[in-house]
Amino acid sequence: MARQMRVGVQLPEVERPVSWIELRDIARTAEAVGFDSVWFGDHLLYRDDEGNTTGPWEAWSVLAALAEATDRVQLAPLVAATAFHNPAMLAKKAATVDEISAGRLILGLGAGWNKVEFDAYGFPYDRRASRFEEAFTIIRTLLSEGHIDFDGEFYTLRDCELVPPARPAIPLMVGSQGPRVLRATLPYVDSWNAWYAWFGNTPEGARTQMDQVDALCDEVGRPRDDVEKTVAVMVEGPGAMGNAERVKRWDDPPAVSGSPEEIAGQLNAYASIGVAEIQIMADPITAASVEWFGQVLDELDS
Amino acid sequence: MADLSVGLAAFTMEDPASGTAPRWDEIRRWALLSEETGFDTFWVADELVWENDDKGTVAGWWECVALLGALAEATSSIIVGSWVLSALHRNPGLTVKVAETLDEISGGRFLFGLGAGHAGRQGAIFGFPPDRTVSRYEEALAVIVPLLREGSVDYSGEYHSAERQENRPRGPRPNAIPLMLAGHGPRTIGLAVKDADIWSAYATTSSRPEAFAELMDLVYRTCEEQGRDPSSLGRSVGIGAVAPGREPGSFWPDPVSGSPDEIAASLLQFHEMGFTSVELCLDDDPAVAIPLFSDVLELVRDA
Repeated sequence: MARQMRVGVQLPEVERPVSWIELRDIARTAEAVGFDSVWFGDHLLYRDDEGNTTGPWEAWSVLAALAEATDRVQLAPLVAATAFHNPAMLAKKAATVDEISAGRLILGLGAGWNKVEFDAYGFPYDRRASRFEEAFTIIRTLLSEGHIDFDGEFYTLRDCELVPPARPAIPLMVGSQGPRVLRATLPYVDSWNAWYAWFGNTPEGARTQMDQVDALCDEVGRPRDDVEKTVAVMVEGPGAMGNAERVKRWDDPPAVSGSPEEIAGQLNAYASIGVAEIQIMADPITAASVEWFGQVLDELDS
Repeated sequence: MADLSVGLAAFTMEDPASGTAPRWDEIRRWALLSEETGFDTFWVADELVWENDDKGTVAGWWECVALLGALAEATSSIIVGSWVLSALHRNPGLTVKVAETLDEISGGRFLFGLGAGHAGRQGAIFGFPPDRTVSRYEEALAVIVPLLREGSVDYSGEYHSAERQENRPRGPRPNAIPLMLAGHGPRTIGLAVKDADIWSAYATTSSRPEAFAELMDLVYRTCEEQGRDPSSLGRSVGIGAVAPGREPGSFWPDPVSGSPDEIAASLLQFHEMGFTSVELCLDDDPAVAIPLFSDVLELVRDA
């Protein structure tokens, strides 16, 4: 039985200090063991309740470097916050990373949610859905048509041209569970993504969310099957910090765990409910653990 | 041995005549060729679209940060620099995160060039504000400099704000990524003298050394006014250059040209008048022209 859905892995962010060398190593290992895609978060700063501050590397420079360092895997932000850049600039970054990667970018987009980083960097946190709607219109139009003349409440671009043009059909993904953002994006995106904590990290929970997305597809007149359903899934491997620690840190639902065969079985449950791609949120997330997860991929492929 | 750094700036933009853009493989090759040939720095500009004067069309640029991320990974010894990031194009704190990340990816080889940027048509096309460019730049620096050099900032201005913003994670040179600030007038030169490790200018009317005498004079006077020892400030100039044996293009006014000896002599003239770094800007096929500077670079090193 061949692999029933695509499987990606997310690179570490602020779980621990991580160097570029290690990020590159994990990405290349993922490529070598057969992952379909490598994902990198788009964040600026986190602060916990005790005031401890952490931060990740900047997403677009990392994605570009990953494009240079890899050959086959798709690369994507999970997901790029439209709030952090001028939307036309964001489209240009996407077009450039897609060029560098020879067509391997998936442009995951979202409105952003982490108020601390918005406040820290001076981005407005209010009316995020409205701002996202305008930004999304600009980004998708520039990527698909190459030009836009836009006079909105939040953005005004006069005869904007995206040149050099983006390659045709850079896949667009929306990472959101908000009805407004979904109504704005479902007519256009190639895929939708849900974060594991939204649906309890179970296929049943994912199916419930997918039903909501399908209903919204019906509402906006988009054929359901035109929008691929993708989900991030929390998975434990050997040496995991474990559910107790993750719950303590991030209030997480229980992870998928077990032998490679058992994990593959649990992941295939997502395929059987219609999921086209899962992104593995791995605990631990190291080159060694990614190599171990290669055994899960072997099971999925067998 | 002359202590003059020589960099290479190639245009990562569509050719105005044909509308053809360089592909990534070509740009990557230019950087590696520059590294092999012995250039000290490979520069990438932060431009968006330029208007083709006589055509009503535009020529677009690939995006600077993405190119630098990939070039930082592709190269191993050459300095990779932004020439220069526009303070208009990105949030200032995010710009510092970019610098820190590029320094990390390159293993400590990033040169953080920054300037006020150009508003004008390019800005309007992309929806950047058309006015108060230098004031916006000044505020951006109020966020960028402490964040870059101390790791944190709190600032509340008219155009930018930062609230308990922290520069994390840090790369291999925390608080020590070299900052190059562009300046062509009293205000921007004032800001460069105040905060920069290196001041940067480029040719507008001519690429001859004499054309920069007034600007250099202004830099020295500004250093005196601010009580800064000029030798503590690097001084970089971008000029048009034609590789030995090649025909001049039309873009750069009065480019430096001739035999390797003649070109080297011109570059050393810049050194004599106080520049510590010269960036050669080509209007030619970089893949062909870059290696042709090999002798020039050797002559400059051995001077």
